[in-house]
Amino acid sequence: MTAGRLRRLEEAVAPTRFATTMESLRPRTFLEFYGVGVIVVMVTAIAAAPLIAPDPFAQDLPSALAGSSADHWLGTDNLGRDLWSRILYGGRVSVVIGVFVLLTAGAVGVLYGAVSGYAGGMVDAVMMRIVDIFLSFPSIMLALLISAALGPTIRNVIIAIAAAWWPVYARLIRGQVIVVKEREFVTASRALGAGPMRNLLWTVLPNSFGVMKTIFVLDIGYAILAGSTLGFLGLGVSAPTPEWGYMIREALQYPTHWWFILSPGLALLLFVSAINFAGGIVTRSVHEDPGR
Amino acid sequence: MLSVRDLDVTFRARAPVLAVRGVSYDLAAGEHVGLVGESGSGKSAGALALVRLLPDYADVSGRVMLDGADLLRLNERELRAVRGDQVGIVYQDPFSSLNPVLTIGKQLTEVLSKHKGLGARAARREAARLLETVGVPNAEERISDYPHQFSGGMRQRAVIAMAVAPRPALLIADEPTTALDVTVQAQILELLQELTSEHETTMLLITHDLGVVAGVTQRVMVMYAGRIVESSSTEDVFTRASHPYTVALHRSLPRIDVRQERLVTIEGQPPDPTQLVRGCPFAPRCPSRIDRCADEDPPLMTIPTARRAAARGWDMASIREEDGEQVPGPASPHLTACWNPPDPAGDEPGPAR
Repeated sequence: MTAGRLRRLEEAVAPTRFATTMESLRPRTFLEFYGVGVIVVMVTAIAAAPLIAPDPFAQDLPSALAGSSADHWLGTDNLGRDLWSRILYGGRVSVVIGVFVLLTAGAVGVLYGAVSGYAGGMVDAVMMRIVDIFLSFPSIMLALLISAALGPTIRNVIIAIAAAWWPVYARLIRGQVIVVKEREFVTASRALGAGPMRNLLWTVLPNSFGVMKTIFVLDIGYAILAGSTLGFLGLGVSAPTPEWGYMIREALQYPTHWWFILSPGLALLLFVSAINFAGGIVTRSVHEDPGR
Repeated sequence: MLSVRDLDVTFRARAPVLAVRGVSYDLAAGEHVGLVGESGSGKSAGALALVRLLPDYADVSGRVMLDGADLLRLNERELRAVRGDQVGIVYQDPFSSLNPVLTIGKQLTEVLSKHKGLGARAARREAARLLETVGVPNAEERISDYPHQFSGGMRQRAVIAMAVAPRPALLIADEPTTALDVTVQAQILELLQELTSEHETTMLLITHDLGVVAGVTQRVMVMYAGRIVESSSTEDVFTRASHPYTVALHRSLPRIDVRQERLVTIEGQPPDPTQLVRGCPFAPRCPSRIDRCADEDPPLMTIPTARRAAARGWDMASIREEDGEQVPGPASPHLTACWNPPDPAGDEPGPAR
């Protein structure tokens, strides 16, 4: 058989790398299906909120704190606003916080940790002591302080949580970089004349992401929780913007109207736990393909 | 072309490891030289030290002159221009010397665009051509494969393609065939031979396998305990080995023409690399040692001088005088670091032919 024919045969049989990756990212267990399903449904609903829910700001004081009805599927809050609508719009805030906290803290942390680990020596020691200082605060405490200082907007909540979180990523990626930079292909790349920047960005970093992928996915859930915690403590996104944490805080004053507190609480629980279950897929995928 | 003088490599540790001790040699342009020695003899450390690719805890001293510049005095930026461009390296294990997350093509084109300033399209075409040259079938298609989709031999071919892409004047091949199986070994050696002859590239071939150097090199340097103990034409090293260590190495090779119950070994162990050795490092294991070996390390000298050294009653001064700064070169004589080398003319104790 000629090499060409063998090659074509291989191609017919072997899936592409992209297909392999997609295959390993397919949910397999019940919990993984559940997680992915809940995320898909909730994100779709959140995205389609204007089409399937009324105005979340429209007040209807006479029917405040009403139970479920045809007009208000989940009932109304203390100002007569539609809870279903406020849950969906509140989800938008949560998703934005979750994603952007990860992007910001991830970018800063990865860059900082990579430089620290790659440089090594005194630079590394000094940079990591700074990280230690950040880590010596409880992260929610730090986020609270920053949020209180900056004022309650979505942007500031993202900054506050990201500022508290990046040191975790910095430390994590530093450990990986230190391991990877000793591997032979890094020296091989230096032997070909690669400078430190090229080496770090093309050779070391892409090989240091394995663990990060898992943690990133799980942390989206925790970032959403952190955002809601700030909201619950009154230092998150400010009224009247709907936000799950702040809604729970308001509902606490009306303990007899169970649907008021249950709706945002359940939304938070469903969403964050779904992200956790779905995160298992990424963990498994990373384990199955240690080359990446 | 390359001239190494008094190269010392010491790894800092609680007990510093003296990996390379005062190694000197010259390589002529286009010459293929083998550097042979057992594990820990300092052959890899000595070679990687040339372009300062050793870890931070290695101290390197001496002089490494490449085309008029002392590589050990260059700063990191100047050195980067030398690495790859003038000195290419092929590593031992192609399974760990390629970046697993980039395609072969991407890694090759990077080298080409950095060293030859080629644009994306031209670099890709050149990369495919190079892969073709090193014998990767269907190079056009395989260029977008990841290293894990290549077999060991193919990977080593890709590594070689990267090393020769910038047309370096010196190619250091650090045990390029150790990780490969025997049939592939021969192909890779042939490929290295072909590529280096074509561009008159100087090659330093490091190996612990005498069989590897036999077909490829013109000259062989034998290292023991961080020192070069013998340097000669490949033919001489194989047929008229003069240092007792080289002789012992030959003896321990399995032979196809003699039925052997057990392989011959060299008694004892190489010296502890953390200890400064007094006298000849091979003396404790040497069958032809004399009293003097315990006190003085014999310098590299030509065979007749070494022979006379014994006859003259070990007059050190006269040896130094006669040999002067005796340094091996392309047409260099047969050098040995032994007062009393086995007689190369006789059958004993030289290796059987």
